[in-house]
Amino acid sequence: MTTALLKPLLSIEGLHKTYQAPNQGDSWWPMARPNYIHAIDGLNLTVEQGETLCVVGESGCGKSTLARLVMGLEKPDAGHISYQGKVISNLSQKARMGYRRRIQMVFQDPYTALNPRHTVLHALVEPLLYHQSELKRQHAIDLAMAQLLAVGIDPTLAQRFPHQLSGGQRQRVNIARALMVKPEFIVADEPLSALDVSIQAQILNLLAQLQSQQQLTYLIFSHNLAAVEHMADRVAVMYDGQVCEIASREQLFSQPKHPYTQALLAASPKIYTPPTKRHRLVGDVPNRIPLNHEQQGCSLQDRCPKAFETCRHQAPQLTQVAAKQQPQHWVACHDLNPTPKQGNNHDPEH
Amino acid sequence: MSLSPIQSQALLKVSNLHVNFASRWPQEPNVDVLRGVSFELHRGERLALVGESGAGKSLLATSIIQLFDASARIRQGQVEFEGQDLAQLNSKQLRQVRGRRIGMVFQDPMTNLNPSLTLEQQLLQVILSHRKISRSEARLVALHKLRQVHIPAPETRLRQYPHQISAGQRQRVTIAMALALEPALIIADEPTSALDVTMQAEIISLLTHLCHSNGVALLLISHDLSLVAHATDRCLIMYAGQIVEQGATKNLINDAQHPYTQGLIRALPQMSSPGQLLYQIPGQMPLAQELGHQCAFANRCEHAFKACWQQQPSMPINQDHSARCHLVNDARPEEAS
Repeated sequence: MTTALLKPLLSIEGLHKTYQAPNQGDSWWPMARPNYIHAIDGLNLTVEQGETLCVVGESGCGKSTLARLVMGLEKPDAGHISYQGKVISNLSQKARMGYRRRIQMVFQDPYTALNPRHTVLHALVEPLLYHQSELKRQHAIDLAMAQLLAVGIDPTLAQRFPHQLSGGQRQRVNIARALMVKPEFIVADEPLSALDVSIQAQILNLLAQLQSQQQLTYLIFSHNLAAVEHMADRVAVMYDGQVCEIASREQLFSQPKHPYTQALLAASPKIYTPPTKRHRLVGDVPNRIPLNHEQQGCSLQDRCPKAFETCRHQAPQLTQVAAKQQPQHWVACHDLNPTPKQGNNHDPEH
Repeated sequence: MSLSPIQSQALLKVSNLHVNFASRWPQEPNVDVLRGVSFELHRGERLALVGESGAGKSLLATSIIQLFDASARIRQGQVEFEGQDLAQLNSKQLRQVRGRRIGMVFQDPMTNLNPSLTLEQQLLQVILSHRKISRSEARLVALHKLRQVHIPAPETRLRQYPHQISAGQRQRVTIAMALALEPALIIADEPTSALDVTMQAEIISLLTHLCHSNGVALLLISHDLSLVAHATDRCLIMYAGQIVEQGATKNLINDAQHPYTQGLIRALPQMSSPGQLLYQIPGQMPLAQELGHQCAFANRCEHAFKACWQQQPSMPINQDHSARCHLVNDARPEEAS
């Protein structure tokens, strides 16, 4: 689907985003040194024209922050995001309007993403009139009706309020609203997590169908690996604000390299294969508010069954697994690098 | 005190349960939202209850211990638990059962725990309100239960507030709380839908393992068949306020009989190869007031025929694996007898 010759549509380089957390510990002293949460910590990612890139990871790994940064809802502290070669945080007011028209977002929770006091039609017409103020209202309404049909909603529901719709219908309205301004790029933050299995199938089909009709590019954040395996072209695995593995779908699901990816795949429930105890991680996602961010080395070191000496004092870099056979497979793990390692006595995986 | 003699070995026997909500206007009739639910749960058994949202799963769970909304009412039917009919008990008697004999684990561990009390206060409150023991003894029980659910350093955890621990640990604390009084049954209503996949796998295996080793029966509610597939012994599929299929989980998944169950399995993304369109069950679940005398699934079923629109299918009783479907029950008359 993608070729190396094409320039990436969206590229993210060395992105950092830090939030200030409450003061250290339970200190009541207002002058105490503030804590910082490194939500995004040196992230690199590219999205090619027309592909579906899925970003997976546990909650707290920075997925939603990344989505907000890409949308331009937050400003990065360091690094930059560029769309078609232009850095988005440097855009002028006018150019930013154009960017916001070309890139649209589908939010996680279809219940709270729609204004409960606006009808479906109102929700759809509003972004259109905002971006194209010269448009006649009647024309906008016609376009909205056509869009409702395109996402599989009976136009007779246009005058209803969100509470009168089912969860699946609400998510369809959300998708329709995002598509109203004819965007090229859709960012979806957990579009399926609030939906039932049977509704998930409908939304997955709808997304696939819209992509082929309108040549959309998707950046989808999810922790539902079964759905990711179904729709992604490439998959990036995020942990603690960084990408720890990125590969094409086939490679990632058939030959996961990073211990974290292996753990995620092992934990994802499958209907016909019983769960395995292999690759299980110990402990929780690290709580990043306390001091320990000054800790050195790999951020997975406390949970990783394979961690050895190098992991404790040196952060791994994203490197290509095998440049010739798998040019798109990058992983950040010391265990896979040819550097000599000590104190490591497990059997090689593959 | 038992109101009726013990009739069977089942720990929990729900028979022909009808629950309705009081309608907003007097001229509107009350409609049943649970429409004749019957099932049995034996001691130590792990039972899954699967269905989409709006099918009545949570209402069924809360109806068992009558924790439902004040406008809901059990119109008909029995909920026999350890020989007494819970539907006949008054609120004081019910309080003896809730928490003590039946533990509950809810969906969202953040809203389930009181944010302004330490974990110790909450755990001790549960224990002391049912058992006549001293605070220090109760504290030992709480520590023991926290260790059972693999909470590291439970002594320090007890002094903390819910916001100071991670979501996975919070859910483990609620499991410890549900287990604290050694109940005979634990009802877990979507215990992992607010958690990540890695946590989900751990919580489900912890819950099923604990129930198994302590001989506690488990009613696990979920909308995801692949989650319960390897964690439970038996499975109930619920649709529009009725049980539409029941059987041993393994049989049910390998040989689903009801078109709805088949649809649920076929709709899983793992069932079709990447890039293909997924199977989707057309339409949506009818509202309770729209249901007439036809099969509730008829409008979405691709096999529906004349009888489905005229008569509600019945559920064969006393079978290991049964489905509420004309197609299944008429096609196999020799099994139905």
